[in-house]
Amino acid sequence: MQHVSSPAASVLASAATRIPSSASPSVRSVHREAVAIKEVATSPTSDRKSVGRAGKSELTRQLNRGTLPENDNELSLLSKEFNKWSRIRLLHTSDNPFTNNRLQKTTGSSQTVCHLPLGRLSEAKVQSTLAKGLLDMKPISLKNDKLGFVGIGYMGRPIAQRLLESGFKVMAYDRERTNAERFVRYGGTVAESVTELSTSCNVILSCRANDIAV
Amino acid sequence: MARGSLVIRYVFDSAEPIFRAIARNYFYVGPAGSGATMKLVANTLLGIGMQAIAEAVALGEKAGLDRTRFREVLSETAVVAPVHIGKLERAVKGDYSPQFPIRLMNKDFGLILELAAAVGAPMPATGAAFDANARQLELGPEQDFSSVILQMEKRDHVTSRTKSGLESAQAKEA
Repeated sequence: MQHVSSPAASVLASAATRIPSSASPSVRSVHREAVAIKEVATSPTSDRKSVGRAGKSELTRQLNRGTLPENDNELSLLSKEFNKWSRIRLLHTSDNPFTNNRLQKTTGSSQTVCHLPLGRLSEAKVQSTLAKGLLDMKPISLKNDKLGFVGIGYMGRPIAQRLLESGFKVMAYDRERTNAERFVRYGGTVAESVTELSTSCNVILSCRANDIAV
Repeated sequence: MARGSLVIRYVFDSAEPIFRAIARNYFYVGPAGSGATMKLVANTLLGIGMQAIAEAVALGEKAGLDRTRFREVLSETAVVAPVHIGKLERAVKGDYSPQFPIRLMNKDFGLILELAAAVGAPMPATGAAFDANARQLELGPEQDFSSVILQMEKRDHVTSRTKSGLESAQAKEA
């Protein structure tokens, strides 16, 4: 339902997380998928109904052929930006979530498909960097991570408290200093500013009522 | 309802230790923003359900049912959601101290209707529930959101309804 109101096109990037990037056949296959899926997008089969009819086998066939159209400047530039990272490839642009889900299934379990809502081409740089950061993400652990929690209110306080009880290190920030200070008695620490929070914690959670609080 | 960020299943899995610590159940529902949308969908039922109960309670009182007894019976039926049963029990005691302040339900109604407008989902009952919520909000933003019961009691003139008024209403029905 996000897609209905958002004019932004979804961009899928794929990272061959379980395939070493040095293995050339795998890299080739990742690249082929990247271009082939673009072809799906430009072909009549990209709409909801026909993809449904075409099914997985038709998509798989299309994945195995096709080249990136050279006149599609926007996609070429996007691809170029994404291809800076050895393990990330731009696969497809679409604002159809149905197609996205279908593509995710088709690419199989050896790859991680990353949905990147993109508005403008200029955001590609930011998004590709984010994609890399996320795909390199390790599971969050009690030992290695310190959590920063913004918003210790009605919902935030009990949530942050449970994190403390589970053994996480938690630092809190709230616009109302007294809210954050109340948190100290449960074993948490308090940040003076969002800057302090973001520099001393590597995972940030937030629990705020609305955009005004943001 | 932040957009423009990104979520992948892989990231969800990486954050699982956090979900495990704060919730009994947790679900992956889709790309960034889907979780917030899911919450608004759930809170639609929370808010409309509360309004439905407030109206039913006001009706029961207006029609002369025993105040405590009919609420006890209602709690035993299948038509009241578990989250609302506790509200009924507290309302008998006149306890509207905040568990979920009415200002936060008001905020959620606003977000729900904004989303409804954006995606083109008609929500007439939500609009009506929002109205009752907003009227009660003016009387105290920190009371529990179940205080819409007070609003319905007041608007239905439960306290001023005379016995003869009730009898004439029953006569009309007959």
